[in-house]
Amino acid sequence: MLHRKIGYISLSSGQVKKASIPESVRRLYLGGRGLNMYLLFNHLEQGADPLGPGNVLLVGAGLLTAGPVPGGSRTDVAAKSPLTGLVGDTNMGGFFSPELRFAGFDHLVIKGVSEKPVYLWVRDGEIEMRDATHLWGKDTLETPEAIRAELGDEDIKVLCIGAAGENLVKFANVRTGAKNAGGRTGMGCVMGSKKLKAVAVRGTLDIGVKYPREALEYYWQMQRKILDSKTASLFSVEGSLMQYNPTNTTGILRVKNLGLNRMDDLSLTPDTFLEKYSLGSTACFGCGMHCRHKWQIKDGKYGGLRGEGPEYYTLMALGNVVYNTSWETVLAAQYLVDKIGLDLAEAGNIIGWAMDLYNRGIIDKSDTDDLDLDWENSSEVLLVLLEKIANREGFGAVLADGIRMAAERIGRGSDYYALHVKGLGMVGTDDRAVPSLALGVATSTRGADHLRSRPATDLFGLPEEFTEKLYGFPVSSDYNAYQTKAKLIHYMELLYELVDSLGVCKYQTIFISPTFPQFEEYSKLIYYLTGLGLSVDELKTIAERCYTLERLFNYREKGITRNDDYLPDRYYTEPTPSGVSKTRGKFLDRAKFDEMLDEYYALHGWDSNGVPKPETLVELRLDKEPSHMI
Amino acid sequence: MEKVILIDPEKCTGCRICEIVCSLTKEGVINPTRSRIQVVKVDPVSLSIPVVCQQCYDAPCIAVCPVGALSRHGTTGMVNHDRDLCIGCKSCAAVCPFGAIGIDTSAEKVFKCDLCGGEPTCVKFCETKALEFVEASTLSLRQKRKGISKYTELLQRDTGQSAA
Amino acid sequence: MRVVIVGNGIAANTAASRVRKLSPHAQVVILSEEPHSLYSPCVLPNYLGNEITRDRVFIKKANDYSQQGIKVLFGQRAIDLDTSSRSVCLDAGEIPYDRLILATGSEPVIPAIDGVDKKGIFTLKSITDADNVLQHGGTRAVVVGSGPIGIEVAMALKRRGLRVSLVELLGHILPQAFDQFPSRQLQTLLEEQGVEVLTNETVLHFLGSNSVEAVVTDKREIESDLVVLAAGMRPKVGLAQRSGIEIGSLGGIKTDDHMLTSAADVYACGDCVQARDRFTGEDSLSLLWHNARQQAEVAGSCCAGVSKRYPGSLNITLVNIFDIQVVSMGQTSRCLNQNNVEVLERHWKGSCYGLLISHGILVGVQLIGKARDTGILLSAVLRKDGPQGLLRRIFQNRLGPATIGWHCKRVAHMPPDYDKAAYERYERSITPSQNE
Repeated sequence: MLHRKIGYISLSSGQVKKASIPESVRRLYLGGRGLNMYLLFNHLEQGADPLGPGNVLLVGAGLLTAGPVPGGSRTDVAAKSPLTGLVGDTNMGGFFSPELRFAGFDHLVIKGVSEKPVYLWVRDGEIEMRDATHLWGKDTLETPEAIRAELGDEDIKVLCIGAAGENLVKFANVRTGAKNAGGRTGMGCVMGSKKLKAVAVRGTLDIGVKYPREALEYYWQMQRKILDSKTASLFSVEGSLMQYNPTNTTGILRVKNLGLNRMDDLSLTPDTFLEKYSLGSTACFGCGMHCRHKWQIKDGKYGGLRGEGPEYYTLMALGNVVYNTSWETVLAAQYLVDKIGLDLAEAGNIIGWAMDLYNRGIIDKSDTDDLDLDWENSSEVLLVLLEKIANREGFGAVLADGIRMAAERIGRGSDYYALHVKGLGMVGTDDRAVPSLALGVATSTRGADHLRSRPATDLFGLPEEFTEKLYGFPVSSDYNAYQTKAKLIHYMELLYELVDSLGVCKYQTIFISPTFPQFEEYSKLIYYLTGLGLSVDELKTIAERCYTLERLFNYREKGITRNDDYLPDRYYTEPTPSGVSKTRGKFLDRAKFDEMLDEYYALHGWDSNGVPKPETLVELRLDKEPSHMI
Repeated sequence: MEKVILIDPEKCTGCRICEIVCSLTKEGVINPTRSRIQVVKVDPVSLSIPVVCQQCYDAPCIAVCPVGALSRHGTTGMVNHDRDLCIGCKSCAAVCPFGAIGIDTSAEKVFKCDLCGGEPTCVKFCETKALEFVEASTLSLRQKRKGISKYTELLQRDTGQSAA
Repeated sequence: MRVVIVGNGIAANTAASRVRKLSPHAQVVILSEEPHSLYSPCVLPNYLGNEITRDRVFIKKANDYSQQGIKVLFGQRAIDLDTSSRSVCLDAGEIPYDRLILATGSEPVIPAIDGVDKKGIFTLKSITDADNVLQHGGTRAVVVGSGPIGIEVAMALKRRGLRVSLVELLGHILPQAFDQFPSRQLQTLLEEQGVEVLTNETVLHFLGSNSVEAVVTDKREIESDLVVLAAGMRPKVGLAQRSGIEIGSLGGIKTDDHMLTSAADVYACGDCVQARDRFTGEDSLSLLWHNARQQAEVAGSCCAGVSKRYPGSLNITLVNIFDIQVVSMGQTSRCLNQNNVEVLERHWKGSCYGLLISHGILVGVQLIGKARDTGILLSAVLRKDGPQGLLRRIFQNRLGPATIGWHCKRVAHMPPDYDKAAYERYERSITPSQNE
């Protein structure tokens, strides 16, 4: 598991170098996201243009990916984001990085720009650059098929971009498999700018396990702990859609941009999906939860369409945020964004904003290529808009550069309704009533993003004696509270940094159930699989190091400080219109939010402006960065 | 008492845990190409079909082996592969109707499922019970045949075309 | 009950084991012309090529027979067979039988070429042949005939470090198993490893005073101190023929679905018979290890009183050409000789996949390098699948969707003879293109 290689590829010169990853580096950054962040900080020159040859694209497998570990399928792709100018980082499941590991590589560092479209062919210790002129223009479902036929192996896994990436849409995603997507921060745009159409991988090498018997035994215990639980019995059937109904009922769903916090129309429930469209479950590599759906639309406008998915976020971005109430449109839209390689989170957010502007009379048909963006018309225009964005056509071209630039272009006070943090589009939930979620989203190093820290269990109302055992400190059982939440967010940030560096899926962690694995379990798994003995505290330090490095990157590139760690103004001024008693009439209290920020910075060892303190850098061995170890 | 691995392809989610634990148990490393059980994925609707030695009664592999390295053991219900006798001609791997015999290019021999000596690891770790270890009574053999014929059915359903 | 089995190859031994299993009290006697226990002629080339040691050619040891309760008489040639009095006449006496199984095998065809009786010219059928070839040594070998045995012998001798030329009468190598286009690829594989391949060439005579010194063909003279004749095998049916048992038109003992011959209580199995071919429904000579075994299972079973039907021979040729496994199954274009043959082919560097479709069903398969699909395709042939059904799905999904690098050409008429011009046209017409 430890002895895998890193490949350095220069698309400008065609040169390929291979090197081993020293154990000393593993002990500091592990792999996956953590090591990608180190590589990003070290290989990117400060101020590099995200669309130029100076940007560095990183593809990384986690330290434990492919192992006998719950949910060990994740791939991490990173670069400087063309959308935000900050840490660009995205994580996805499927089968890609296990294959990369079997090919002998854990990380690829891709620099420069190719003159003509190319793709990388990685197999069993070798990396080759191949012409992709004939692949340019193909969508993300055609491209892998074409590559497999060309190279004569049906087991090749492909990471690729679609039309959105080729057209340098700032929120183009990277795609693998039927529907796995590395959505956020526009990594597909970076690939497009490098004329890198795809990375194809096939591996037949061994991955060694340090203590196979113990690893299998402990893995068995972990599987039972997770998969025999009540949460798993629901999750393995409903998938991430499981979260939709509770979120809606509670009233923390973002609807009509930020118009409502609850969907009155109940067409979009998981039950409808399971009854009418689901074909059963499928899984990512090595996962016994198999939470992914397969679906089919039998008849009607989209009759005959088949695909995989959807996720809870799909439903939010292409459903409630844009007030689309048709399941079939959601599925067809998901299928479309998968094909064209467009981030549905960003797309849903920006379309929801455009529709909000239209319904408020700030823009009209002359802006929207004559499309009627009335909320009631959502299912008619959604797919049209998505295509326009991917192809930079007309109104799509205005939206294709992201919400911040679009707001500048449109003007007319449209930026008041533009929901983003640091340039990344807002998440699908309405966090006005939940300070912990709000803090996480506001401070995430990617921008508005829940995956850096989402403390889903905060909504369960767990008693303080329980959370004390769970986290090592008590957390208020009241999700309206501001007290103790900074500690919670800090803890979750460290945990998810670890999980993303190990290449493991968050759905097999305390993300969805307090009894699921966290630090202690991963410490054991790391030991049995790799032989590295890392205590819980040591793992937390590694996570702290990686997270602070991300913060440092953002500071270095764009001077990100406290000023940028807030949600849009509306979150502190406009009360939620509906919901249960705990979520109705709520908005964030700025003073209390500031207190949370103070506590949060202190926990990270950053100053009151949110800048990492020099002594923290020394403590975390970040003071000499960039250190160019690998 | 004869026991066989019964496959229900409709329950398979394509998670490949069986490949991970088989290769780890039999070869001490994780490597799906060295697993005795392989999951074949049929796109575009990610239909997954586990393929493993069916320990056939009238085994084509036994018939074709030129050195008698494959034989049937009456009591365990297993088709046994004698690694010492094997000359690595790969004829068995070719004729297996399921493609269930693997080729070890470094050892220059073939490999196939040996039911882990009576406690198949893949069956233990399969979460959806797509794999079950059952007695080879007439009832379960009928189930086995049904499971195998499901390959045909499911592939047909996928294309909406009929097979001869 | 006494069951006498004439022969000691895989058919004989499989039948003997089956009889023994089903009739624990029967007396089972094997009459072995050769002084050896059961060995595998299939792996003689591996022995010749230094890949396995001599002991691994043998499948049984002498005392395996007695442990099984089978009596074996070594070095006993069966001279005559009296089916009315039910006895076999040996060199050293007579042996009566209640049931008889003829498993006399096959013998190499020795072409009537001038000089063929010189020293240094061998066939390769028995282990004694192999020992003799090894003992003879030599540095410059010529192999006559490019069937599977010829190919394997050529490779074995190359492995031993000899210079090797392979001479084939017809227009391409492995002519019974492969069409011209894939056969050319196989020829390239051999040539890349240094085997000289000469096709469309006839051996006229062998030169040399006592030992062979040169081979003269209609095109050239090849210096040679070792010749292996691999011009085909034919069933060994002398014994059966002399005793009045019906021999079929192909030269093998005629058998029914129970492997019974025209004589009462006399069964036959293995290389010496002709049986129904499962692909064509017509009689064929099976001359393959797995057919021999399966026929013997039926013969032994029926002999022991447990009725079994032989489903038919499977014409599958499997050859390893220097680490690349090649397979041919069913019919080639040459034997189809019809107006309606469709060839579906895919090519990659070093691999080739060809399916022959006739009247809408799969009738032939030729694989180079993707041999693990043989079993699956065999099922498709037996089920009479067509390309638009399950077969295409298997084909597409085992190889990935075939939209690029896949072409399907309708070949109007495949001439049975090797019309060079026609074949060149065919070759040009199936050269892979990027678009479908």
